[in-house]
Amino acid sequence: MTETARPVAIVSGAARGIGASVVERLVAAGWSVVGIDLDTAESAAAWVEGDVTREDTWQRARDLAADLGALRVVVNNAGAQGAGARIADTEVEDFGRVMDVNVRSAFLGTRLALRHAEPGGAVVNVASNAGLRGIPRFGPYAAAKHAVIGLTRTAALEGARQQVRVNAVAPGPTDTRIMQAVARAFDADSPETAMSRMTRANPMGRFAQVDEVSAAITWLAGPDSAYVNGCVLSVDGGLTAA
Amino acid sequence: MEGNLFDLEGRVVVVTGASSGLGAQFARRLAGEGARVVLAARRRDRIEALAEELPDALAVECDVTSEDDCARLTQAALDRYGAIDVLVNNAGVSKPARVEDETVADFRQVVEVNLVATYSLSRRIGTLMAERGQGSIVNIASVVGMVGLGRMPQASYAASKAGVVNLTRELAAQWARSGVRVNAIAPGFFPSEMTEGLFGDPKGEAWVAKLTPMGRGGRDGELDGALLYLASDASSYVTGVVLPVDGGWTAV
Repeated sequence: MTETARPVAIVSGAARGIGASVVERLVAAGWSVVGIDLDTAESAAAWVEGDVTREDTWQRARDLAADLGALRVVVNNAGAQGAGARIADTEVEDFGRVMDVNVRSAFLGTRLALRHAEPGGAVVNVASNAGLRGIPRFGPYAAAKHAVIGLTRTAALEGARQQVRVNAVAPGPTDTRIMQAVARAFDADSPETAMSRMTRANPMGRFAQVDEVSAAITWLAGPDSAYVNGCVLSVDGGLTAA
Repeated sequence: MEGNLFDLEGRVVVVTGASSGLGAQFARRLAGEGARVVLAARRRDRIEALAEELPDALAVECDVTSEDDCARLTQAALDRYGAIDVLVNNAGVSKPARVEDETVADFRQVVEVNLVATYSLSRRIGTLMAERGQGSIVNIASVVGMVGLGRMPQASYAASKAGVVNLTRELAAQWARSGVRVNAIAPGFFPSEMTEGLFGDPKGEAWVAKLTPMGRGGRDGELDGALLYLASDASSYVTGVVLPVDGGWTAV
């Protein structure tokens, strides 16, 4: 594959966790990747250090992508889970921040793809099992991830016209540092207890590994899912089926 | 995860309804990925001919509604290969008719093939998988098991496939700790023997195009990616999922 023939992907939240694993898979498969995050890692071809809620961050990502070749895929992975408080105890500013980082960013990334991705392209939004059910102490996050799914389904209908597919993955609890924070929110005195409770509550009895989530994302980004559009693929060990 | 995520080299995969349509296509593709395929169907000449084409494949004549046949199928697979890694419940029938003209006997027969046989074979082979601590079951459901259509009236098919949808979730929940994953693919409209009437008629094809956001029916091979994903270790944390491959039909 020549340098110019490489398909280009933009991945938000690319420096660590699920996003880093997506970058690793895409690069191994011969893609050029533009990563967006608050800081950078060395894995991607180009990086935008910036806030995913700002339009100019995405504009910079688009410019870098254009330098690398034809934009085919946007993976909206950046997210924030919030402080972990009941709705009654949540300040509206915190709600707004969680909505911005999860929904506004996914809107900007999705819009960019619907405007600029080449035919045969794809958007993959990283939702959550919290986008399919309620989770006490994570009201803003659940609201945001439900919104990401609504955005995905609508963009799928609109994107079909220019042959850009839009799908979402809905991971269950995943083995990342975010889950450590979630565990502390559930039980500040004993996050280990909360972690163990979440593990037991999962039908498979374990968390997802990041590469299990990234495998679903890259599958939805590529040609093996060519007739899959508007779908929400749970990668959750059976959590939302049970 | 190193190497090919979707690798099925040496895996033993039972495919029901393998004599034609999607089943034959699945068998070919699975064999192409290195799987050893057990072809099950009533039409013996067809599956025997297909088995000749595929490396290390086995054809077993089987009416999936017969408990005896399913027992023979399972035993034949075990005798030949020692274990079963993947079961693809693909066998299905449809009897389109408006409800006023549909008989209860017809309804029962469709449910018997599409739902009861899927349950029965999953129970039989899934139990073996659970004892062994690994396995993947892929059920072929349908978008018709998720939404009402009207235009292609067939309450029996719709009800049977909706049954498959929640059978998938329940078995996934029961076997999640046993290493057996259970998922379903919900195809939109694909050209097959079952949809000949639909795609043979310009009005039918236009109807599919209009109601599918992607503006077309599925193409040959477009279910393969979903099957390989769900059958292989690429989906090792995915269970209880109903994956629509429908061009966006059910996203509307």
